[in-house]
Amino acid sequence: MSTEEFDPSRWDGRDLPYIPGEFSDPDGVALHDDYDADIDPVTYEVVRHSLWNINREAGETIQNLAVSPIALITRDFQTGILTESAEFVFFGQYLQYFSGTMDIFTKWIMENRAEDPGIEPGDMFLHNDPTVGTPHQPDVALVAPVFHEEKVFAWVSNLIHQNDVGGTVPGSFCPNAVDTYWDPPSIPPIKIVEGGEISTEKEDLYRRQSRTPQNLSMDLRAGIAANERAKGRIEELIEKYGATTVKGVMRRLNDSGQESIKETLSKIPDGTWRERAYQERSMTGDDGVYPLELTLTKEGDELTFSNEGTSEQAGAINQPFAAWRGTILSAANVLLQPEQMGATGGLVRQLNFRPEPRTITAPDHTAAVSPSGIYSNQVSLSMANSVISKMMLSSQDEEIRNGAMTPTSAQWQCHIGDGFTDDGEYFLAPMTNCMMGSTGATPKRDGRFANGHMWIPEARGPNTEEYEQSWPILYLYVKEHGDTGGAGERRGGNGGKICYTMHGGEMELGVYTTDAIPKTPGLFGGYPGSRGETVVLQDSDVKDRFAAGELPTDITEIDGENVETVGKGPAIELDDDGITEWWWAGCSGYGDPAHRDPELVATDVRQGGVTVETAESVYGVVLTDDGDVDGEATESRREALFEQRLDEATTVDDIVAGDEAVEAGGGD
Amino acid sequence: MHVGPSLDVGESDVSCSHCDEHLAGTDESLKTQLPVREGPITNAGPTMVDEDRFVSEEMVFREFFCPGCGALLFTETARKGDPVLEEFRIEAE
Amino acid sequence: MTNIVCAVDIGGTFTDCVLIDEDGEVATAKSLSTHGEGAAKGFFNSIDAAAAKFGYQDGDVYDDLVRIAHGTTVATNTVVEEGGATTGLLTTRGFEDTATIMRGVGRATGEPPENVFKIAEIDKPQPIVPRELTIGIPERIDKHGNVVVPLDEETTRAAVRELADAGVEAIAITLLWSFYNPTHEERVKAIVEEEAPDVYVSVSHEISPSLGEYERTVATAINAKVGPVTASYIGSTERSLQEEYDFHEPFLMMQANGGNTPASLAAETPLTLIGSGPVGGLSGCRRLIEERNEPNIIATDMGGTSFEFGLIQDGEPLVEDEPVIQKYQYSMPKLDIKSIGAGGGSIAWLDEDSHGLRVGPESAGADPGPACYDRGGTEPTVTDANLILGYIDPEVQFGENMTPRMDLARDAVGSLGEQLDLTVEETAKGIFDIINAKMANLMENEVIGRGFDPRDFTVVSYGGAGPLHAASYADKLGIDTVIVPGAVSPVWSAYGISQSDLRHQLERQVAMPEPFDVGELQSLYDELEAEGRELLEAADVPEDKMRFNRVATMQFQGQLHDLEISVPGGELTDDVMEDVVARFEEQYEQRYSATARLPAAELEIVTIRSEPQGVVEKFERAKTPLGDADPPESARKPSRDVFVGGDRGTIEVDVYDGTALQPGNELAGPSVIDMPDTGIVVQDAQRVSVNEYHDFELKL
Ligand SMILES: [Zn+2]
Repeated sequence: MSTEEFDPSRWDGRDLPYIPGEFSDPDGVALHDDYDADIDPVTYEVVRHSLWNINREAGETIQNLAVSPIALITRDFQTGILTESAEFVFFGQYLQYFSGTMDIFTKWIMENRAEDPGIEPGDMFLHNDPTVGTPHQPDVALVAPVFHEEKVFAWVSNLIHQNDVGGTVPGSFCPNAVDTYWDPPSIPPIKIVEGGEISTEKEDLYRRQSRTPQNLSMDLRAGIAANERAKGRIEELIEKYGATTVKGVMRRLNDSGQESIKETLSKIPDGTWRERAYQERSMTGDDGVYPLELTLTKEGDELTFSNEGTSEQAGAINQPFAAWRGTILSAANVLLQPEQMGATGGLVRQLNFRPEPRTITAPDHTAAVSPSGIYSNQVSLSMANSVISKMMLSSQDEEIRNGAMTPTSAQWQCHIGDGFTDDGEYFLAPMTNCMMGSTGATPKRDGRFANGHMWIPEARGPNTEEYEQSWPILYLYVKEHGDTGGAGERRGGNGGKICYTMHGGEMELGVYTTDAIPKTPGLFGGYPGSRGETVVLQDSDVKDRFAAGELPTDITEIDGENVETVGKGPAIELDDDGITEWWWAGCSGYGDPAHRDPELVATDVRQGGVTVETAESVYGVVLTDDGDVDGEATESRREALFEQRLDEATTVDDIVAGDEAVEAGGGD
Repeated sequence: MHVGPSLDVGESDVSCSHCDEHLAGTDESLKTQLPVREGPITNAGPTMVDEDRFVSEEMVFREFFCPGCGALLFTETARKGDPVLEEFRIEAE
Repeated sequence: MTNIVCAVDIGGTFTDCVLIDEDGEVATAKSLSTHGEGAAKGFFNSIDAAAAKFGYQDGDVYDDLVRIAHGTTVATNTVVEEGGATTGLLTTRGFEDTATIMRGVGRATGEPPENVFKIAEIDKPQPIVPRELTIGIPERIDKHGNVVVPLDEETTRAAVRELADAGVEAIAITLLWSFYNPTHEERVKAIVEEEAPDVYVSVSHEISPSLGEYERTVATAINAKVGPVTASYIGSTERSLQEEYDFHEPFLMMQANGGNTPASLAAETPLTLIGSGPVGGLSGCRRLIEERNEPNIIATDMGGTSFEFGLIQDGEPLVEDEPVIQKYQYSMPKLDIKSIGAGGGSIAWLDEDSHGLRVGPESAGADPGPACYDRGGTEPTVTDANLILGYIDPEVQFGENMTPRMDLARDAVGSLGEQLDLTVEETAKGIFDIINAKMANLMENEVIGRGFDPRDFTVVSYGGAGPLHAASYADKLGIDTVIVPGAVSPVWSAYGISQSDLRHQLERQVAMPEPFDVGELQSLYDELEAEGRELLEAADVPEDKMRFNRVATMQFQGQLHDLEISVPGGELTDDVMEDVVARFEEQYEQRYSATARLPAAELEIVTIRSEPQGVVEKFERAKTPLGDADPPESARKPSRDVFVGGDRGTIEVDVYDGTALQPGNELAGPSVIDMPDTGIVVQDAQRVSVNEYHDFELKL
């Protein structure tokens, strides 16, 4: 771990992203910090569960009232309860990387808004400023103080991904953004609710940027209602059990969380773990390659994360610092302490973040970040997943080792279209079938196709009927995509593929995903997870095929004019007979595929997860015509594989210039 | 200490847990000491694609093997000529 | 000649019968459940046994029965324990993976909150229909109900033959958009009936006509899996009633929604029976609430194989709209009842890894049953432990003519204890404590997890094994009152079933935006009500006992969550609908605050629903005025050795005969109250009183 003190003073949320320093009593706001240290076990358990449940209830309020399709179906929102000094108490089971933002922006508000305009009961702040702390502009945050006896007792907060908050591309993920001035507007914290009343002028300002302003107003109210609900419930708890008891439970919860993570870390050796991935094409028209690095250093019971070696900020592939921090917290939360049910406060105390400024993962406020949800957040999640898992796999404790998982997919594949229905209604269509997801492998288990994502534990994909109901499209298939999980002794879960055609109306695809460089690293000999692809055929014969009673199940069976796509490419308007297939990627593998149990490979082939060709070429498993393992042929095939590998190998000096043979760390 | 599925890290050296072959000293960068096969990124899986159409720089897929038994110990994707990533360095307990 | 209502409730281990006559007199009986081919035998045995207590013989009771209401776990057990019939699935080509994709949320579905983050540990369930028995057929209908690709009948026919050759016993049919245009599904069904006439068919637009192909597929597939066994059971029972007993009054089945339905209908949609087992108990508690004016109840039922509980909050049982079975979710309103494998038959075992004592979820069930039943079981169970501890009267008769054998219980528990270096008694106490902790934890998660404080609730305990354990698990939650219904406690579910009305739900998806087309709504409600009337008429419900509640589910456009608003009967007008809208807005603001409502937001009606109900005749339980606090001498039984553990080991405690205790009696712990088929263990410092219904109230 770097021993030099990190100086956060330049990181004030204006030019560089906000990183709170030592946080004590901010001026202008009184904090309620009395607590009871001696609470009986039944009361502790009841209050603890109640706090968890309050947070869940806030989440349900959002699910019940919000209208943003991404937020609703993918659970791309989050709710949190924080202490008076903005330490997490509970953080919901929804999108995990928002965890990097809530405590930060709440502290920023205390430091920057307490004296002017003041923080009073009945107030609520809104913001979407990535430099203060959101993952990108469409993630709009609301935070409200909970007062007790004229002091701030706690904070309740939520973020909801909005349908559209402006910017150059409908849906507000802007792959063509050169800088933040192409992005949707960033609004630093403003008091949207004062004394319980919504400020109409501020709401108007906020709505004005959006292609779907009504949605914004609906979701604003959903978020307000969720915070109000949580606030009211906490006030009831205080009434019933007393303020110092409730605060005592919050304290003890965080202290015990901290003890628990320290206990886990004591079973892992000190050391350094590193990952590197390459982003491609920083924005529309660019063809560059951009390395990202993540280093995890464990020293005693603390973990320090650094992005040293990461490229300078570039185009639209940047990630706000708070989101980078959030992606790391997500992986740590899910991998290292899943039993804590989202009580994140104790964990946060043991983590340090050491970003290099003006890089892709800690850009200044001029950088474009709006598409971070598709590109940069996912790469960082995947890299954090990798370094933490590698660290866990260095432990001698079986339980910790078995909790490690290979990395989640490093891009968020999706389509976002907009257009008009047959009735002339404007629509925005964020297609998030990818949320059916895929999970990584563990030392004891393969990853699974359509098993959600590790970073949204309860995410779900849509029903085909839901999307067809909303937009003028017709699906041809939604299915598992064989061979897309990274090969390995334990293989990554496969991704899927989806195909749809226009069905009335008109639609332009502003965002679609295609990439070339493998970005989801395999662990300890496992192969990387797959990539995304979008295949577009214009003027296809699909409608004729329908008329002939045919229902093609692969886009290669359909004739049409192929439109080659690249990542962050220009918008494509699908014509009336336009048809497109897109993929969501699989996760990476663990260990040498040639060490995989041949019987498992045979099962994979039978179930369509792996093709016969891959079974033989990568896994070295030969099957009989009946699909059973041919033991002898497999053995000799594997022997040949091992031999061939060493025959074809060379030394590192042959492929890399001598003194640059190793990235960072070196031999010292 | 056992690290991942295939490595044993001792006080002074790292060896292969499949065949006991010595791989590197603990003071060396492990991957730089291993036989490596470098090829196009299409080697990384059946659904991979040539990067030509997408980016102006050449990308490679590297596989690092145990010199004793040929076990695949690490894979990595890199820009052609980029240094090998040191994935971990553990302080012996 | 008197009028009698009969209810029979079949559980995993016992089959219970309750007879209530018009004076409120009750006769109950419990007999061992019979399974497989002879499943109906237990049903008739239990009626005979109860009727004998009213003095009937040779089946003459059937002349006096005005209805038989029946609850069975046959459907639930078929899918949970045996996996159900071998089922094939026909679906729209290209969507064969729908059931295995599970919308990506299969891992998390139905998991308790502490498991939701455990992504490396928790897994998806086995496929609900094996992928190799799922066949996509060329056909496509769009969201308007228009045919995009006509049904390929030849391919369909071949697919059906392929499934039949593979040996399927049931076929589920789920095609996209079939609930808007069922013609393709109807045609596929007809082809199945032609090609494979012996196969049970389950069709999505009939089973679960709602948007969302995943949930519809699950509902249809589960219905198929439980169909053959359930339909055959219901069919043969109904035939026996008619042919052997000349019984032609209504024969009803208890559904998971808390209402009864005619048995012949239940055979077509056995899905509605899944999870109905414990519903009867909740219905009984609903009656208890009326009697006692107690708004918050945790209804707990511990039987031979499982522990189940539901919540009644502010007088209404909690309902879930999307129940989950084995991590598969489907759409159907169902009373919300949670269950774990914890019952008298739960098997205690040694966990080799931790060298720890574990109990359940495996159960010895009715066959072979606990070791002490002497039916070949050799594994130690909770019932064996209760017997050893002295909680169960060693002279008790279980069901008909079965007395437990202490020696067998001690052998079974003893051999487990040897491996743990514990005495027989210590092992038995360990089994008792562990099973109680498991039940307490489940309740704690659910009650506190829903934001309720368990201390605001009263526990009602019923089921054969429940009262023996209720004081322990209630105490762990800080609850201070437990009610054990008197004579009917062991057959409480059956009692509840006897008290339940007929209830149906008929729904149409409409997705109708404002301004509402009143004429269209009127004709849709008329259609639904005509359908409902047929259902009630088929069940011989007289006109004056029919109720038709109307409901509209409404939301602001774009939302995924709706509110249920009741719609008045009679003629719909613009004024009526204006009032409906006003009530929606009021409820919305009440629930989410006035700020939460955007005045410019546009409303839509998502579905309209008719809830036809047939109100059945109910007989009140008889009351007795309260008398002396001292139990009568006749209620005292010889004292018994009870193992309490700790420093005290085995002590001698007072024992009472529960059937002889009188309203007004009070007694203190430690003591044991023996009752037919169950008992109450009263711990130190606890008190019990008997109320005017002969119910027992424990104060902890
Ligand atoms: Zn080796």
